[in-house]
Amino acid sequence: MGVKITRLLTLLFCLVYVGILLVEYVFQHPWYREAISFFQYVDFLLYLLVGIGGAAFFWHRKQPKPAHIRGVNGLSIFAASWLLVLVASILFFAKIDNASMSAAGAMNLTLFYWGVGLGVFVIMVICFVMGDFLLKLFPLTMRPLELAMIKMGVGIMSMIFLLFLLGSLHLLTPWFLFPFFLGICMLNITGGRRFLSQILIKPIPLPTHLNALGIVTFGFLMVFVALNFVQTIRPIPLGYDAHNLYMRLPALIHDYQGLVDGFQPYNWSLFMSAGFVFWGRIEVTLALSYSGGVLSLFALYAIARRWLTVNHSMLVLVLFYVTPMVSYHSYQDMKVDLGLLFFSLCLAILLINWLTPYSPPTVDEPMPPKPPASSQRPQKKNTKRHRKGRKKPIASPAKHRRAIFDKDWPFVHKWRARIERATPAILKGQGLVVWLGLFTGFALGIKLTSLMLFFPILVVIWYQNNQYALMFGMLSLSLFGVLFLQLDSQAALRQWHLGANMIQWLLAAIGGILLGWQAFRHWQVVRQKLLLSVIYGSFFLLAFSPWIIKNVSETGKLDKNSIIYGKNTGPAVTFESLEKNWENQKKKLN
Amino acid sequence: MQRWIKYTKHFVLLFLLIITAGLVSAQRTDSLRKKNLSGNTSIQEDIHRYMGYESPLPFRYLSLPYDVAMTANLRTFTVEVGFFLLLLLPLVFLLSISPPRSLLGVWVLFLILVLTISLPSSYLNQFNLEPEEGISHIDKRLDMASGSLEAVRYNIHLAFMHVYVPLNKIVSEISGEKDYVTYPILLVLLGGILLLLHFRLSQNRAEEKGLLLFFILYGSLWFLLSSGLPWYGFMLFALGPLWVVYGWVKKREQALLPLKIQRIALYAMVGLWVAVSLPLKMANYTPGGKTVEAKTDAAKRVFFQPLAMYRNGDFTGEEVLGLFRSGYPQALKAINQETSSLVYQVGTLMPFYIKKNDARIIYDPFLGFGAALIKKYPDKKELIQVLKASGVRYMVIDLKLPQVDKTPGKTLSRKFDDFINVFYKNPLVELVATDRSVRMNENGQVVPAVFFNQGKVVKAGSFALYRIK
Repeated sequence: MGVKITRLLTLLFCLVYVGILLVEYVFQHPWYREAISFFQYVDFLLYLLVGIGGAAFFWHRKQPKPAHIRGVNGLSIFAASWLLVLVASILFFAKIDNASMSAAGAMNLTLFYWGVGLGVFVIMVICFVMGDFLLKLFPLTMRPLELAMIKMGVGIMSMIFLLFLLGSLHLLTPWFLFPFFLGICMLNITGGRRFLSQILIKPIPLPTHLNALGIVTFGFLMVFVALNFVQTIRPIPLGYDAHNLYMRLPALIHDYQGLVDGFQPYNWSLFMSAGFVFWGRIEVTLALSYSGGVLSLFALYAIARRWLTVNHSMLVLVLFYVTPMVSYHSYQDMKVDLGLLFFSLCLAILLINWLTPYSPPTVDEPMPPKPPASSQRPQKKNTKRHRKGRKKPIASPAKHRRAIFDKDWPFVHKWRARIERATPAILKGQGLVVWLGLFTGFALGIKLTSLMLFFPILVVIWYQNNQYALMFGMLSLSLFGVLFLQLDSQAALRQWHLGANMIQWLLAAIGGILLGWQAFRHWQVVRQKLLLSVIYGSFFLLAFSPWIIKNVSETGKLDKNSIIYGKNTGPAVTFESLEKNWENQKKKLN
Repeated sequence: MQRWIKYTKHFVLLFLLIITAGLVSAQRTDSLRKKNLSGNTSIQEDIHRYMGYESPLPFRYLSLPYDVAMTANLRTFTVEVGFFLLLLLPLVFLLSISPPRSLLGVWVLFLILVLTISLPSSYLNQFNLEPEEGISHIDKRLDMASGSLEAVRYNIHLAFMHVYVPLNKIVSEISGEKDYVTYPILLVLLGGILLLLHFRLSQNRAEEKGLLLFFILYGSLWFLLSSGLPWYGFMLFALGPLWVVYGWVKKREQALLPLKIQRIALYAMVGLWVAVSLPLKMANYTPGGKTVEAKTDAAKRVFFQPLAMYRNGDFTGEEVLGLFRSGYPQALKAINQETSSLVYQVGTLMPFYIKKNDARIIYDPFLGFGAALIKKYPDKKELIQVLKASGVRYMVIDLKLPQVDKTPGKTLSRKFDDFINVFYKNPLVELVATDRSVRMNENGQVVPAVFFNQGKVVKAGSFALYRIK
């Protein structure tokens, strides 16, 4: 009876809660009603429904479900997106007065679409090849898709680091960059070949439980992705922050062929500048900024697939990407936040793997339970005719890995062995913590708000294995750190909180007492956590250090503002200098 | 149950801390309640508009999730995050009715408290009303309501406002624009949420608990430090949907709803969200206009027309700039004639196009520097001479700057008026370019001009560029 009443009351509350907020949302957002009332693209919607619905129907009827469909690969999906954009453009021009889309116009759009896509893709290939190479030297064990995301992240970090170094020497010209990066990619030809083959040509593996929901959500996702991409193909930035900072920097880097003095650390703007310094095209620069959102989709999918089916994972992506704010940041105001999001999600992947280390399946493990009958593929008959088409059994994972490595340059194994030998004992087995530190420090070089990533990760490190007292202790100390560093003053919020100083020392006391008490009771555990925190913090600083060095060398000072912000941008005009110059002018006139 | 009681003791201690802080605050109620109508800094004018100006201070923070979801403080697509997080994420906690059931009661009470604070405070902030004026204002709106749904809406607001007004009065005794209690309240809230989740998720896997802890702490820091800028917390809008979907598709032992209905509810919400998002996307997030024709035309523009024509090969980049930013080519031609003179910039989108902009631009987007200059040099001719003596040759002003002013005292608008007045009938400056046009009183001609008293404004425009002679 108690359960029934609880259920009834809770359900009632949920309905009232949803009702209140939905009604309020409808009235606070009249533009949705207007967009629906005056919707002009019924034809486009019909094409979509036919296309996506047809694909879903075809998949639903297809029995048995194939592991892949020949021709459905990365290249064909990009081609489908191009077709989608072409149709949208034709319909757009048909509806607009005094404009039309001719065959020449369609060809022009096609050249732009594939050209910019190729420009971005080349940069991404270079990044992935470098990342893949580095993770051969510093291997991590993860699920394949998660590992691919980390490789891409590591690759982008490497590219930015190299651009930073080359930028400090003013070598950012295509004549230098192309041969330079081509040479670097030669270090990992197998990685590049495998990446190109898997991304472009190999059919995409289709999970057995993929159903109409997954296909429909993927279809709608692709609409948003494609429409956002094509809108980055333009000769000018849009949006205030893009004009004043995030696109201004890549343009300046291109003009100077090197780093620009001043400005806050600008890792992502440096990455975006690859569009200018490699290709000399603003469209590729804009598209590289946009790519942060697409990379985030892949990373989010990798995380979601841990706990959700492919269909529900697609729901997560759709919920995220169709948000107007995400769209706006994807193609209108090109800030760095979507690029930062990708690295934040990579941090989440690293964190999850650190909390629960991944064990790849071995040959001796018992077979996983069979999937439901409807999704099972039929057993192939063991006749000669059927054996002809059947692939040979896969070798053991160890043999398979050796076969791949055997195709790498011999020095890769030597370097890897040397690195293993040279790794200090303190760092052995802490690869994930090292990468957590590097990714966090790198994220700080994208935007200073990444300190919001640093403290939570630190707390989770202390929480591992349900260490609640340690978690609360480190949480208190982290909040003390936030208040002590006056991070709330950055947005002028500190002025509202009169007791902030008192609170900060109270938090320090609580944190100190909790951690001190735990250190007294479980010293070995606390010692281990301290070690992990030092490793995390050290590599965090290491990844951020290039900017510290740049900023200090520009200003010649070591105060907090100089270290973080570097030289003031713009001319050296202050109130005092204005007064002085005016006084001097008056004296001359007199 | 014993563990629940044990942890409750810690909360009693923390609440005593809040009461102590509150009593200290109560000693200074007058100064706490005083609204800051005098000067705001540029950061306050730029950033605090996202958070709103609700009073007292705890309500400003507690209403933030609601304000962000409803775009209550700033009605623009840059901050539109949708309804599903606010709607579905808090309800995930209620989808399991396994013991201890008191947790459900605590969570429901918390949500009711948040709604009681958020709806009225957001309403009052939107119309710039005092709490005492809220009920009468809603009554008037209720009388004018055009449909049953609108009437329902205002009745809901009225009900919450009746509870909110006395609550506001109580909290205002210990808080105001500034206080000692908000940080303790927020910290206790964080502790409470962690405690509730600890009871609910004790059987979950380590990586789930770890990632959720990371998500909550990241969200808390966003809450405390970001002043409500949603894109500072993009992780919330990426991982938030993950928790929503995971929570709503997960099978539970003692579930509120059968799994099938739970999932259908989720699919319905997602479907609704996609269904309303697609038309808005196809209108390029710019529906609107006053007439049916204007609204119809806006809904056609899935692309920006000049950009679509650029992709077609119909326009060059220069032509696109001229179409998108009327007046910019002329302004930039003047500024980029040489690269040694300095440019005093107040807003606008020009920096990207100015050559050697890192060395030439004095950047003053919210007139912090400009206001200080005017105070020091009230004579407008002298002010121009001061700037000229330091190499400033051009001054470019964003004519739309007052539109971003959401401060209660309209401090930015006042600064703008003072600054633009420097150029009015100033013989030491000449207007080089503007996209504002005025029909002159004297001859009826439409000319580029900045000041309204010269005639009737035909096009409001966005910028004005002056050259110092």
